[in-house]
Amino acid sequence: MNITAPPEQLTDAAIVEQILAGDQAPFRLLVERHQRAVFNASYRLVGDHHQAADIAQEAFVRAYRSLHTFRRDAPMAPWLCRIAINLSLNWLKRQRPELSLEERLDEHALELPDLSSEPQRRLLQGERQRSVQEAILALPPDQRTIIELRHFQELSYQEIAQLLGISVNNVKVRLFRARKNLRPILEGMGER
Amino acid sequence: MRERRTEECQGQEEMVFLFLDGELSPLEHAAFAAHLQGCPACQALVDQWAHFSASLAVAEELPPPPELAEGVMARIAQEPPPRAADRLGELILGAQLLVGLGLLLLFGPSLLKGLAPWLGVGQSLDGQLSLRFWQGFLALVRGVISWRPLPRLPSPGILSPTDWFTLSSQVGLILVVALGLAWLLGNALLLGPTSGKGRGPFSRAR
Repeated sequence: MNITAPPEQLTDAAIVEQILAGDQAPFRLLVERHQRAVFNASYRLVGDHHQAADIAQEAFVRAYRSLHTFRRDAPMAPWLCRIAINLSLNWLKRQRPELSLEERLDEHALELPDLSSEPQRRLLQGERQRSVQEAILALPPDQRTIIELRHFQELSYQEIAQLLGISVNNVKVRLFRARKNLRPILEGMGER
Repeated sequence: MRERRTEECQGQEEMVFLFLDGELSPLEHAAFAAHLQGCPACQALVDQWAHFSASLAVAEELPPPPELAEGVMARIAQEPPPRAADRLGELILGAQLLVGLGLLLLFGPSLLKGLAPWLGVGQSLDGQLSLRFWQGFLALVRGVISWRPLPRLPSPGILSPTDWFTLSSQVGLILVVALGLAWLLGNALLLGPTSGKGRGPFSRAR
């Protein structure tokens, strides 16, 4: 690997330069640096560990192919996550129609652990994190997507609209509905 | 009092979202911030939804599978270097544009000549067709820069110079679109993803 500085000191832009100069090996650094964000962005949308891993891998390969289009002055993680999100959205579109929200929420409720006893209470934080994840996955795909893009990727309404090919007003409506659907679940968690 | 306030503030929830999301204009933001000072109901909503965002932030993050990096590196080992593919694409694009331009210049006057009888202008403009073509070519450039739709043509044979300009630009644009499609098709065939797994609607990431 033709790297003069220690890997942790190299910026993403410097790594990209090396790759575009013909050295593939530094791409591993980018993968290791951003795989968590890319994998989780996909997982929050598709809700399946193996599928999210496949999508994350595909996202990195596509990022590699179009690395020359990456703007060096921009952060890399959002760029990679958007590729993964696009792939996840495509995957979701190809799936069978999902269960209704109520059915998903019912399933979700059945899966919630009993936290009444003291030992389990100690696991509250971990369970809470998992429950938030499950609450997001219980949303219909379009609402799940909008929550991912707004709350995790922190995109503006305009950026979300462009990415999804919908109007800004539509973004507002979907976001409003998604938040309304998530709120009771998150409030319920706070009461436990 | 509180009930009346709540009634007054019904429909403000969307404003709360826009406020928290930073989607209000500076003026709207200032106005809503001022409103919050005197409205406990809306302030409570803001607090609730801010808490909601904080709750979402604790969503569990799973560790990626350990074999992910290996899998990616194995895949890209089969890929050409990104810039090499790009250079090839640029070369093909340049060659296609040159060929397209050459074809346009070579056959443009003939095309107009062929269209003339169909449009009912007969031979009256025969001697001027080359000139008309070049006028049309300039109109094409103008048309590409600022597109305007073709006006309804008057009866055949009565084409004003402006109509000729517009018509020529339309014909030119159609040719350019056709060349563009040929270019896209050529690129898809020559520069498509090299592995079956890479094929899909997002073959070129944003």
